[in-house]
Amino acid sequence: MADPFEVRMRFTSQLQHLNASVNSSQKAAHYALKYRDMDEDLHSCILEQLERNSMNNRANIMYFIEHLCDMAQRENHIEFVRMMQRDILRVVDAVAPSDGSGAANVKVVRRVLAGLQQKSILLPDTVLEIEAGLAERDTGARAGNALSPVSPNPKATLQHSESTSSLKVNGVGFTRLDKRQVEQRIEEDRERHKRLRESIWAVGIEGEGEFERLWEDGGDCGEDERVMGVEDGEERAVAGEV
Amino acid sequence: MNAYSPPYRQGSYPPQQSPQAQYYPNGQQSPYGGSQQMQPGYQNQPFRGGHSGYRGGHYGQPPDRRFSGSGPPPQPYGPTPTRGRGGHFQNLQWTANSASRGRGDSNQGNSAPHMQNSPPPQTVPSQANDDDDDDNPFRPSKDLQVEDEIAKEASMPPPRQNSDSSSKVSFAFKAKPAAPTLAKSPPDLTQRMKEPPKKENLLENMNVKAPSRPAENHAGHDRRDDRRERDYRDDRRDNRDYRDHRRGDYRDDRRPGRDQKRDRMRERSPEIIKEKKIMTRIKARPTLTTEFNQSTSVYYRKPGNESVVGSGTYGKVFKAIHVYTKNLAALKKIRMDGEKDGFPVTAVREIKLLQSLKHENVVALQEVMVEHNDCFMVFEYLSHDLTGLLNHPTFKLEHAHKKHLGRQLFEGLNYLHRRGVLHRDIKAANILVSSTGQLKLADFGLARFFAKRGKPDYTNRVITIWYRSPELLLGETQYGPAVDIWSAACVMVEIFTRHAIFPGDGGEINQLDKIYNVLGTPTRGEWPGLVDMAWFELLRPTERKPNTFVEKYQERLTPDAFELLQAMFMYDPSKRPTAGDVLEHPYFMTEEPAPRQAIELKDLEGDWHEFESKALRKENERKNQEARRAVRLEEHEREKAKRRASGSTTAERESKRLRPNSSHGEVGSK
Repeated sequence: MADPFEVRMRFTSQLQHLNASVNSSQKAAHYALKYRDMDEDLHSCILEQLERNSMNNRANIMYFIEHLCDMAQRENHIEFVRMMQRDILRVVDAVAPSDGSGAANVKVVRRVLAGLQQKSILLPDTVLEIEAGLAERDTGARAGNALSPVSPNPKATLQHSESTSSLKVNGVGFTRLDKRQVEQRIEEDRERHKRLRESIWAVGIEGEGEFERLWEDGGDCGEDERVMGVEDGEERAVAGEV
Repeated sequence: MNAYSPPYRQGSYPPQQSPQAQYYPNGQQSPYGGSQQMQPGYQNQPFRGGHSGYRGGHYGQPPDRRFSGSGPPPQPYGPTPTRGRGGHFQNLQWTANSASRGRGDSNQGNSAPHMQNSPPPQTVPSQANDDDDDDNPFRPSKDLQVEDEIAKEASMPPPRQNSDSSSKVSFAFKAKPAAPTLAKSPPDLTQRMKEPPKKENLLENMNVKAPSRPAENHAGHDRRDDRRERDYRDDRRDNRDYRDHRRGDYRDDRRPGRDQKRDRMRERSPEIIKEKKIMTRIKARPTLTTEFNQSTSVYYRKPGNESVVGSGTYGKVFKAIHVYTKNLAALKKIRMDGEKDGFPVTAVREIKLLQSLKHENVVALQEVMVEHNDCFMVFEYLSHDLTGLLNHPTFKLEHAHKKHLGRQLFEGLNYLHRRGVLHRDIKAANILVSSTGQLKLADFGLARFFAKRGKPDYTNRVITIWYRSPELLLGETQYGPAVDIWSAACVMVEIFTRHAIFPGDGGEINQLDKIYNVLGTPTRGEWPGLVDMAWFELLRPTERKPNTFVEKYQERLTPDAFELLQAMFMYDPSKRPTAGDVLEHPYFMTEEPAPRQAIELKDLEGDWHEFESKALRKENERKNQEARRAVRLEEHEREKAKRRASGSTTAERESKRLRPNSSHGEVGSK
């Protein structure tokens, strides 16, 4: 029997070192399921780390949650799922705080929620509810958005960024998120996107999925197609002469 | 699609027999026709293409076309220029169909010479002849053929002359239907018919030839040459197949009948003429300079790094010269190291894409070759690229030249986009310029086909960052041709001002800042999709910046040029003009001066690529440093001398100390 303290420590460390790879998420999920008898403890680890770590790490943990729930469901240990259902609001608040510091994570939350809903881990109603809250956060952020001159008073913008930076950046003050973090996030998003694209082409075995997709991609016949046709025709004509 | 694999396979391991195999079926000229078709081994190779085009009928086609009723004797080798797409069928060596489009212009003239050349001029019955003999109804049986092949390989390093002629065809003049050359084509045909079908002859001839080969030319080479020979024939076929395939199957039905007739004709004719063999026409064998003669490759390149004209993550690009045709070529070596999964799929993609393109403003892929276990993409060679030209110490482009270059750039882009290709790496260094001022887009390593409709989803890590559009920098994965327009706009600015407009430090954050500094921070009003960008929040600017584009550039550009650039630098990708729109802009259409080709480039000495200009810059920097060091050293010495003069004791000490150092000093000063 493993020492509960050690399990906790190790799991915490895994959460802290999650990266964008599916691999690292799955490894941590495996670990959690391996010590499922300590599920409550481990769940509290997740919440704890969510509230403690950097924006990027929170995003990674959010993606990890999807893996964990998925795996727990498959292995018939729905305790993890149940606890997550219970605490989902807290999780969302931690990943994309309403103070705007997690604005960059809003899209992450949305994506994971959609995934959870698809896997019937969350009810559509719950997701809708959360979405509504997120939208508010999102628009809140937009109103104070430096990019938008629509914003009535520039001062709000400044204040807003200040609050952002004071939370995120250690004393550098009036800049946006820490450069290194931003770059890391960009890379991680790309990595995730790459994984996503690996399966993007797949269609269900039933129905006319493949046909539909081809049909969709085919597009209309437009000027370009006409020009290409003409080019082909010219070549054919030359060929015919030969 | 297996369309991918074939080129490779073929290219790399040229099926030696393939030509024969192909040929047979071709017209069923061979008595063995029937059985031959069954021989999968041989036949298959050529078809590996997996191309649907190979549907049965195709064999008949080539002859069909060649002798088609239109009267004039077939111009045998005047394959119609097919769009490269056709190319992939066979040998990659051959691929070059694609190339054929671009070069089309020159072909007509060229094909003629070729025809004359290949057979007659050669000292010995050229290989072309041997190959031709494949056509011959009296061709020995399969087994013999094999022997033949072996013999060729073993006893004689195949015919160089041939390779010469054939390569001519293959590279230089992208086989093109040269209507005007018809008159000349007959020799070719007759030649073929006169062919001595006998193996012995061949062998003898070969033996005669053998000695002339470059020393190292061995199997590898030979194979290549042979292949080329074949290729060129294949090519014809390919093109047709391809066309055929495009046209649809309906032709299949009629083909057989016609073909047979024609075949019969063919069968007969050879017999008649055969006696008249022209083996005697001996022509001075082309002599090669010692350098060329010692070349292990048909593409001679200078030893060491001297021939490198480009280098990047993809590998290196070499300048080379075809030892027989003397045509220059750019060899792009495909990096294989670190490829665990075999031939890099990126290279496959690039090749496939290039094969589908043929436009005067798109660089032509002539062939793909395997040599010494390396794979090369062979391109036409252009002396300069935009970076090199713009950094040229003295050469200055005139307004009309700039406009002409710009127009060609957008002509090329327009072509790509219409054909559903995103280039995704437009930048000055990837834009080649010939010594006659012709511009061609190059480096399709990041290019891909895109869906004109539907929801695309691509990686956003594309395009050299200075030329990367804001939507890509903000994480968009569903983008389209507008990203190329942005890059092209950056290039235009560079053409006008010689400087990159957004020279960032290589990071996304700084790059966006560079853009904001000139164009101002974007607003939701001008770019409604802004807030939906994946990294919009992540990269949100901290302050609003005004647009300074007007003050920075209006003065330096003509009014229409300025207006055009402004349009292309729209934040909202959907608001940027398409390449077609750009070409119709008043800047190109009406504003003076009218575009004029920069033919003055022919007087420019040397080749100017980014690579060389970088090297030059480094060299200059090194010289400067050395000069500075020399000055410092001199001062140092002077000071020492002064000190020495001021007191003899110190001087003594100094000199003592100096002695052991002196050697260092000298080295340093050198």
